[in-house]
Amino acid sequence: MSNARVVSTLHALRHVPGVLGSFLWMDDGRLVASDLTPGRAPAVLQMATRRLAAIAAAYASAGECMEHLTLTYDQCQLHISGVANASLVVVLARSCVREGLTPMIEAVLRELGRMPELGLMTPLTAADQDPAARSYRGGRILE
Amino acid sequence: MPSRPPPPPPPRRGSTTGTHRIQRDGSTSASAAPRELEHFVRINPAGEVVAAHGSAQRLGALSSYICGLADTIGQLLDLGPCRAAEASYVGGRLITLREPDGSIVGMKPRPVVTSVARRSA
Repeated sequence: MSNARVVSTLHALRHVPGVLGSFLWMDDGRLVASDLTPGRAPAVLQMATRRLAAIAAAYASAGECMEHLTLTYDQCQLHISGVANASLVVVLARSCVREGLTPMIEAVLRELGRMPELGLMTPLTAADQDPAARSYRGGRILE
Repeated sequence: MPSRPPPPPPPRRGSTTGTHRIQRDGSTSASAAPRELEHFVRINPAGEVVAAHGSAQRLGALSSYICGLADTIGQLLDLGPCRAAEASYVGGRLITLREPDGSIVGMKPRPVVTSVARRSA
């Protein structure tokens, strides 16, 4: 199944100033679409998504279903939102104005959620050579 | 041969260690009273819990795990070390910060209280 329509949808996020790109991974950690500049090797992005999936699982073990996750680095942020059985990662400059971003992300999530091909997409990497990250088995924190 | 003084005992679960001062970066900080935070933990670079209340053990383990994975993601994507992670739930937020000295702070604010940030000199 072609991922072009999904990538085109991701590209709409570039209209928001400060958005550097985005990528999409399924709940099992498979990377299925990427719209990043400069382009990252799919194998490297795949390793990153495995770890993002592990972080999401760790937070999920702490309490209720997670709505959003933001990882902050020196120059940019990764904003992660769930859609259907996938997760959208938006790469933001630290200077990005969030007011314009949130409605756009919600619109993209709605559009992705309506795509029947979302669960049938071809992974960008042929085989997963990345050993699974150590899983977290902590107790609940949100009660 | 002089013996080293014993390390301070770890904070007990449910204990309160006074106002929590959090270094966001080199010039800004925030302070939060324990009543503003349901759970709080600070882990120094040696891995010792130095301030805590609430479910500090669980939160400390989670925060350390998150920081390690987020740092690896930063290395993979050339983003550098992770400074903060914030997860939003229907029932609240979990925040993990890395302070400039390498300490890891994990906290769960109470839903209705907003912390007051102030700029230090």
